[in-house]
Amino acid sequence: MTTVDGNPKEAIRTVVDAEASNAEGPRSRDGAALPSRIKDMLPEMAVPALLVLTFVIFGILKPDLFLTWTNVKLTIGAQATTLLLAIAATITLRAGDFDLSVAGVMIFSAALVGVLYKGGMPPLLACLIALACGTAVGLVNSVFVVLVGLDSLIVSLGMFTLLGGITTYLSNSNLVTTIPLGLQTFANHRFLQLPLTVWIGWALAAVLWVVFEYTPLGRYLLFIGGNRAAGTLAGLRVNRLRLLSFVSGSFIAAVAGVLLAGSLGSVDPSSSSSYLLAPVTAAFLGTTCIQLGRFNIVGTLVGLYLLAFGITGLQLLGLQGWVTNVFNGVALILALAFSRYFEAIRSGQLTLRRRARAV
Amino acid sequence: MDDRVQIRNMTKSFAGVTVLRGINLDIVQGEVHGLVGENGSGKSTFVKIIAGLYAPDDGSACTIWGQPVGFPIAQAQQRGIAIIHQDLALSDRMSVSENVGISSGYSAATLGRYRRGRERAIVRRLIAHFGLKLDPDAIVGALGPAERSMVAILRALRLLNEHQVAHSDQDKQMLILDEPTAALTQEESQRLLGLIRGLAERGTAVLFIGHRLQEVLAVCDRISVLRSGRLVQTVEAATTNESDIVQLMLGYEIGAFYPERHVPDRTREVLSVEGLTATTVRDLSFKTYRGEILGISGLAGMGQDELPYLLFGALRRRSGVVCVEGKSIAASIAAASAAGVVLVPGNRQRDAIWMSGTATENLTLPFLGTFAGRGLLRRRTESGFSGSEMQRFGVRPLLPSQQLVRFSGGNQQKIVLARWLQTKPKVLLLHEPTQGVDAGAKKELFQLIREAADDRTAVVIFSSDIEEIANMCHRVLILRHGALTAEIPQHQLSEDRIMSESQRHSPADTLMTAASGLATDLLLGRTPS
Repeated sequence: MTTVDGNPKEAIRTVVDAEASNAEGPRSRDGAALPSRIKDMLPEMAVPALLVLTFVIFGILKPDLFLTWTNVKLTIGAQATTLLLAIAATITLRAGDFDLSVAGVMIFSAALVGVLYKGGMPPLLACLIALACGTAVGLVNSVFVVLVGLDSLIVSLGMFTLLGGITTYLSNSNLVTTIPLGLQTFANHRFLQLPLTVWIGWALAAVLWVVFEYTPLGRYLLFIGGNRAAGTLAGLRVNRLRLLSFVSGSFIAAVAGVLLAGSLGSVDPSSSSSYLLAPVTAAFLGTTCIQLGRFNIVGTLVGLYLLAFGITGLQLLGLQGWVTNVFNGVALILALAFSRYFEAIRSGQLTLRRRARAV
Repeated sequence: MDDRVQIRNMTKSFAGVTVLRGINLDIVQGEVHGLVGENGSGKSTFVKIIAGLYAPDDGSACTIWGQPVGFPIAQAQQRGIAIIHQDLALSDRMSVSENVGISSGYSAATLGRYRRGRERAIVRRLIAHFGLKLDPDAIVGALGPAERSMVAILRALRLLNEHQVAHSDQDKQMLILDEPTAALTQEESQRLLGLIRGLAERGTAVLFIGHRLQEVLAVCDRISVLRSGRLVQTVEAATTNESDIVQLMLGYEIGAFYPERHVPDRTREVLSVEGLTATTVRDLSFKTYRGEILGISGLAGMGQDELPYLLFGALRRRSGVVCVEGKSIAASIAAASAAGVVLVPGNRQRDAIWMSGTATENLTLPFLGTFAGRGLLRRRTESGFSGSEMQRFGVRPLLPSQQLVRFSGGNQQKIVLARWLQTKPKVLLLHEPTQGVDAGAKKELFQLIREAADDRTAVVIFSSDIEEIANMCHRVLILRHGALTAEIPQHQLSEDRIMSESQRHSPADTLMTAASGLATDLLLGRTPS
């Protein structure tokens, strides 16, 4: 289509080549000894490698406790609801919005099941209404975030707090113990010794991986997460896509809540804050692996289990409960820092600074 | 004491790749010295060496005002050298004097007193010294772009003065301006260029890095041309012209820069606009035809920046009808897209592309569905397709999975154009299509636009670049305060004619400019800039 003669083309190509090799320059010097394919994969595999390292280190320190099927089973089982929340958080983050309210939605839906059942509602109907109410929270979030145009981080944090209050009111600040027996039996089903919730989470993750990577919808979410204005002007239905991401996130959180109620048999209405940070941390850790700078499901899973096994390992070493919060907080900040760092390397911005420092 | 910044044999390589080779350059006090070259020619590396960010290779030498300096150049500011980057780094909500003083810490201790009166006096002095019209209390956000640049320049000058008073006995200054006019309209940049000339006449040395050669020619005394890291030649601006410089930059003759215009078939009307009214645009009616390239221009803020987004349904109309091939289309992006209208936005980074997405992801977005079989994307087919499209559109480097941020502006724009031409549009709206694009890529873009018109697309170019409008279009409409004031047919088209039609009995109306910019921002749901 372009009709540029041979000579000028060459000239421009030389310029471009010089530019390209220039940008690659400092990196190739650093890793000259490594074959380039492996070197290119290093950043993507850093966090998975860290997960393996966690097993190696704690395996050496506590071989009899850490490296056992029981430990693995218990740790994975304990993360069942956090897994669902992390998946929910990843969906909205991928579309460029924060949804911190998922933990609130989960505890709200969980308590609601018990409260409605106590009020005389049939178990199935109580579950469905809890799911519907939880999902409706996503709708409310998206009205304020998408239509009114408020910042999603603040709106969802406000919603999280609001839901905490409502849940406490509904339950009279008491432990909700009126969970239908049928739900308890259902949620406590195990397959290969792992709770049903874990399998549901993994199945959901697999489905979402396909949706994210192999459907136009997944690409649209990624694009509006990357540049919303460009997505709008490229004809994407940005408002609908963001609404969809909020609503589906809340729905998954509500499902997590119903399953949580069933598997625990009782709901502590004030427990939502202990679920606040871990899902978001896992999602951000996820952006530092598999697909750098992008929220992706496999990354989220890797991030989640890195956190979980790291914390379990430290606790097996005798550290107390406080280690959970310390570890989550540190991991979230480091995850953000690493994802920024990898993104900068990937986009070639960092090479400049490095060169300057090399001087 | 010498009045020159003298650079001798400056060479710089990164990991074996030489990006600057033996540059010899003198910048004299009181001159505006232009530095031009294609992207990747070494301009920015050169600037970073002067700024002390990089050290050049052994054998390079630099003397500043007669004093030899070591590398990396230390204390550039004490020596009187300051750089003003394209992003001016101003705080919009603060006043002129608050912005000017901030880099100097308001000459007070961190917890010291901010002396408003003294700050104002300092800024007044600077303003008077350079013969400017600027209110020290004006809020920077309300200033026009040229004035904003001036605030950044004053800030740099104040910082230099302060350092020089404190640390050295010399008072010579050099400013490096990195593409200061890139985001300005023709009219605004004229004002800024005038101010820059004023600086030079008062004895400041200015190194002016620019893409728009006409401006470089207008403002500079001498121009140095870089190509692939070599300084090809330093020429006197008075004795050269644009095509000579382009030839020096590219190293070959560019030939006819603008493609031949064919004769469009004026029988098939495509886009027709009746009584369109919005924030700035008022009761506007016009028609475009199949295969025709229509230009729409005017001074800043006269509506030509609002119109493309209106036609595309991204901004709300107040009244009026927009028809494509006789069918009225609703004021929404969905309706416009469905009717075959596409838009290449002017602010590429903000409105057109996703910088950390790959070339493929950016290219295939609007027709991603065509790669889906039974709901799933065939990604190999997709990237193969985008590879062949990138080749067809001359995108370099030909790497479909490379992030967009790593392509030059010209190549990003080719990708955007490829994206939209793939949809076989009936109407192609191009808003400032060659902004931030170097000469070689510009020529290729013009060729692509021409070919789209040959392919019977109705093309509309909204541009403040009078030169490209005059040379690309079959017909040009001039807007003033949102209304159509002139229509210039091809045989009468010239830059002078467009300029005079734009300015005819027009009181400079900066308020309108600011208001319409703000309105556009608000309507598109952005934070006003």
